[in-house]
Amino acid sequence: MIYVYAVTTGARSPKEGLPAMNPGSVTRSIQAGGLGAIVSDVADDEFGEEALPSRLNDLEWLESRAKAHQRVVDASRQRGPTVPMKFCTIYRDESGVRSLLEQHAAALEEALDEVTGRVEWGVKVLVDRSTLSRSLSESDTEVNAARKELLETTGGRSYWAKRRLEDALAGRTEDRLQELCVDAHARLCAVALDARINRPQSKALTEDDRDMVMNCSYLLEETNGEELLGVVAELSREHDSEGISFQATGPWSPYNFLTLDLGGESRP
Amino acid sequence: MSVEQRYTGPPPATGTQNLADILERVLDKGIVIAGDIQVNLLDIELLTVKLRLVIASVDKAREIGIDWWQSDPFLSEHSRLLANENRALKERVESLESSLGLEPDETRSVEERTTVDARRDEG
Repeated sequence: MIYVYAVTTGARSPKEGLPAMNPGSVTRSIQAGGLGAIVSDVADDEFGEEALPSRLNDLEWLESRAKAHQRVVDASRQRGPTVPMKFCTIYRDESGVRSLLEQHAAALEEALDEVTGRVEWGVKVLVDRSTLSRSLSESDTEVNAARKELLETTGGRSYWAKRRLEDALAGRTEDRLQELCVDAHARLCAVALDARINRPQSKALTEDDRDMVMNCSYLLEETNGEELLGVVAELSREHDSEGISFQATGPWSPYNFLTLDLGGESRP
Repeated sequence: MSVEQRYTGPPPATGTQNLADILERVLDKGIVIAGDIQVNLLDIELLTVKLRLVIASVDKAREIGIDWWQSDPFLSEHSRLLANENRALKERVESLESSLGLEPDETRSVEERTTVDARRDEG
């Protein structure tokens, strides 16, 4: 069986030897329709129709194979225009891969044109809520007023003053985060060609206690990475004291901007 | 040069790709082509990993009231369509009610109700 990682321009000489899915094996290139597919052989008892569902339900397996897929895509991107396939695009034989390239040549060439010289960067915003609360109770007039009121109140009335402070703090925290994300996104968009807003990642996967409040991807000219990182560094400096941090990852192959679904036209 | 060098303030932003970053892209994006092996990643259970990625975090985002992406023009298009659909449905309900000789209910749109419910959940 043949696992397809990515499609590249045919003009590129078929590079071999990228470390593949299966430990010890390497990728090769199959050429057709003026394009190249980066593939490697995979075993039926791992990627076959029957074996695959249970493998996909094994997190350790999923992690190692997903990383391997990404490594190949990334190595290929560094060598030239590369369009990544979705995880687990598998054919029984080489003729299947060749027919994929021939049948979808026009759409794939268009996709290759779109990504030529372009990369994706991810930017995530994380918030340490206790630091943000502290910062707001010092700087925000509304929260500060509620805090002063609480300090001056005694007895039974302090319960209500405390509630008012909590409400003011909760409300202003959300306002502040919203304001900040909208501003950050606008400033990042200004250096980008296109952007995608994704849902924040779950803590189960990030293993970070802080709440993720923004998770976006930006399409850039390959040479503009520094510019985006400059904006991220600026945002980090501006908001560090509020407990807000900005994380940039990249450069990635522009996955978020290549979500073409050619699934409806499978070969007969 | 490494990304880390660009950052002055803690905590350091990283250029390294964590598992969530990779799964988010590799499982969910990229070109979809019908291969010989049909895998619907959504149907697969441990893609609870994926579900955790998507659903858990959306719930969390709602819980903490952060849904700013709803103001994104790409996404708000969807809510505008929903609002139109609401309006059309409401009109149909009202015309049905009047044809049955019923007093029109104090009808709030579904959208308004959802907002109210969401607020209550947050509280």
